Amino acid sequence: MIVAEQKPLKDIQRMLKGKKKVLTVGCGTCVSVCFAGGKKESSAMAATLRTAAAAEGQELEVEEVTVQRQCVQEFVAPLEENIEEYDAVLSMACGVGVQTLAEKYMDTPILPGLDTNFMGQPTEPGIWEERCVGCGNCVLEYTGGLCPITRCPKQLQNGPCGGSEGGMCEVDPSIPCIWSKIWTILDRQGIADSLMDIQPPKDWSTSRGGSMRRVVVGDDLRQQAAREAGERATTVKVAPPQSPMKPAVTSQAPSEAVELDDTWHRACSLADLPEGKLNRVSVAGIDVIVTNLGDCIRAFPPTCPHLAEPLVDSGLLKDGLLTCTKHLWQWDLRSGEMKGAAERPVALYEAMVNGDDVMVKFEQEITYDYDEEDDFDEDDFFGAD
Amino acid sequence: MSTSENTTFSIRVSSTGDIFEVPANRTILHVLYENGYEVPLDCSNGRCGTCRTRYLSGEVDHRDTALSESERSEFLTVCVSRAHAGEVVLDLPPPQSTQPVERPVAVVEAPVCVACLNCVRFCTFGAARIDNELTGVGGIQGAAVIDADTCTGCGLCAAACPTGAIEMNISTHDSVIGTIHSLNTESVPEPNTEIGEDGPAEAPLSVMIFACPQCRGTTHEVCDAKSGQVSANVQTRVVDVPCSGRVDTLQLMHAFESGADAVMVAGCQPGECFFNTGNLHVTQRVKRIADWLDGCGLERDRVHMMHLTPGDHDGLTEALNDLTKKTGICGPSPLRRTASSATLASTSG
Repeated sequence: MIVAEQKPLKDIQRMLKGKKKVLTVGCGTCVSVCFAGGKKESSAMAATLRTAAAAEGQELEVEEVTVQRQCVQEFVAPLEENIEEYDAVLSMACGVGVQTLAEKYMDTPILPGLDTNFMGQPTEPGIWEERCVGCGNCVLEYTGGLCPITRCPKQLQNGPCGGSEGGMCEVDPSIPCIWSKIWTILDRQGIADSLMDIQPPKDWSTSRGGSMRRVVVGDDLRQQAAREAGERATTVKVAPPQSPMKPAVTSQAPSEAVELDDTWHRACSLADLPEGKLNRVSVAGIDVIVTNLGDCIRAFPPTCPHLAEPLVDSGLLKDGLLTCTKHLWQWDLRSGEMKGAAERPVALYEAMVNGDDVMVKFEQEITYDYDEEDDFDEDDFFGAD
Repeated sequence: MSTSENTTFSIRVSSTGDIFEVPANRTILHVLYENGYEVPLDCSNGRCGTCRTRYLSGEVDHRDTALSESERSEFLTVCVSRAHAGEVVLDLPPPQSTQPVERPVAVVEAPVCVACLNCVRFCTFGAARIDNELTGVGGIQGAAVIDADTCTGCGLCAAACPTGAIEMNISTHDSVIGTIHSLNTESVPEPNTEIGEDGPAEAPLSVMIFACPQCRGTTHEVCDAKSGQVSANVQTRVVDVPCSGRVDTLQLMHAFESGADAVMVAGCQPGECFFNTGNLHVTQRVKRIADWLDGCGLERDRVHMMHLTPGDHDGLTEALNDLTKKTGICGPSPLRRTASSATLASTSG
């Protein structure tokens, strides 16, 4: 449920300054429940505004109405009848309700009576707590149904941080350490081991920060209509970036052994290459990381192209996404595409399964240029030349 | 309070000879009211003793916490006390009518209910629940229902209900607001124009007091006998409420809007509420109103939460004097003129 609270009266009075006739519009849903903008609270607000105006000897007429759900056009439609009589409307709804009114009644100033806080739940009479930040990429599957993005001040994906004491958070000792609760729940279910799987950095692209988000259930009917009208749909399909590498056609299954030229070198046997692990092997005197992604084999130099961090130690592989946990450079190993904070591509050797063997092709070792001075020059941080 | 299982027994009213059965799931109170016998009551849960009724015979299972051992040989509380079996003979006058008498209870208008559960959380008697058979606001399945037999009529749920779906059957919201307005706009005695020793008297300050059942007696006594204890320059108006927890922000604000110079809520001491938590909830609301008054340009000192021990006349007098002193500094409410002129306008028109 959306949780909101009333704005300070002085802010509302400032907004309404000079208005002679005002309508307060309550909302009968979420904000009713949290005692912010339901029928009773918006009536009390109206009474308060009238009292304040009378106390200052000002003329102010305040009328009240409450709609079932202010976030829905249909429920606010009946206001059309007499909304023009008012100098301003004080919406006692969440930000969605205010905007529903504002877009429908563009000739009347629609003002917010509430501050919309978060999505949350009542924990005891009169207290509501945040439970969801609407990040658009739910992690509750891994966390025992409790959200560390919302409830851990550090938003840790791989907690706890080590600072919690007696099950309470170190940042805010008045709240429980949610990671401690997550551990307890998973332990009760006998699956606490699953926390040993490291979660890669969170994909925040679905969260706030960009433009307005939109959820479409089923087909977007507007686009469908556009298609039916023979017009181009408005969405531009973005082609996935082309990999600098030739896509490997190798499969992880033992294949018919074929004769290969001498640029191919045997790395290990397929049986020694479990799926999803990073294996550092020496191939013809060269160190290479070989990994079995299930549907293909990838081979690449053993260090991160950023600062030569050994990827066997700091690399994290999940669903084909390689992350160097030092600075969160990431690459999709299947396509070779750069992800996350990566600023350089990862160099891939051609690799394949031949018979029972994993083969890597090279004529010479691939090495990255590490310009250490560039990376460590402190002056860079301060913009000095 | 006894924890023994309820059993069926019967009651006989000596004056009329009426005999009624009291089933295990009902109380003497329920049965009396259904048959036209009205007994005064306040708490309906065995704490106040208001419903004490003389009994002439019977093996009574006393379950209240109000009566003393000596009182129990003569009286019983009809709201909770029972008998294990047999007959209890009650010394009650004949009823004025045999039509059922309405007991104060909360009722829910399901189509307005959003099933927010605030009533379920505020009720300390387990009378409120969500009934999935009912249809709430917007045709959504599930709405609150108040079990009339368990309901004590305190009104905590009605005050907590954010949508106005919960109403008291007797003191409805509108009637309470009506009382507040009419009390505040009733003719104020003309200020005494004679020049006394202290110079010309000013128009009296108007103080509205919301009084709970335990504080009601003391409050009325103090307000009626103003023999120099409470300043003669104070006009008090008492609104009786079933519990201080019934008073919500809207009622408090209406008291000011209709011209009260100051408002006091007289509720029990913490832990002494007949309905457990009513005095705590209203304390929070009074704080909220104080903030609003600040914002309104009135002064937060105009509202006061009085935790009163019944019988503590001096304490209440002192608190009232303190409140009126502070209010006197603030001066008469600027709304008083507006409120009274509004009445004049409405009566003339």
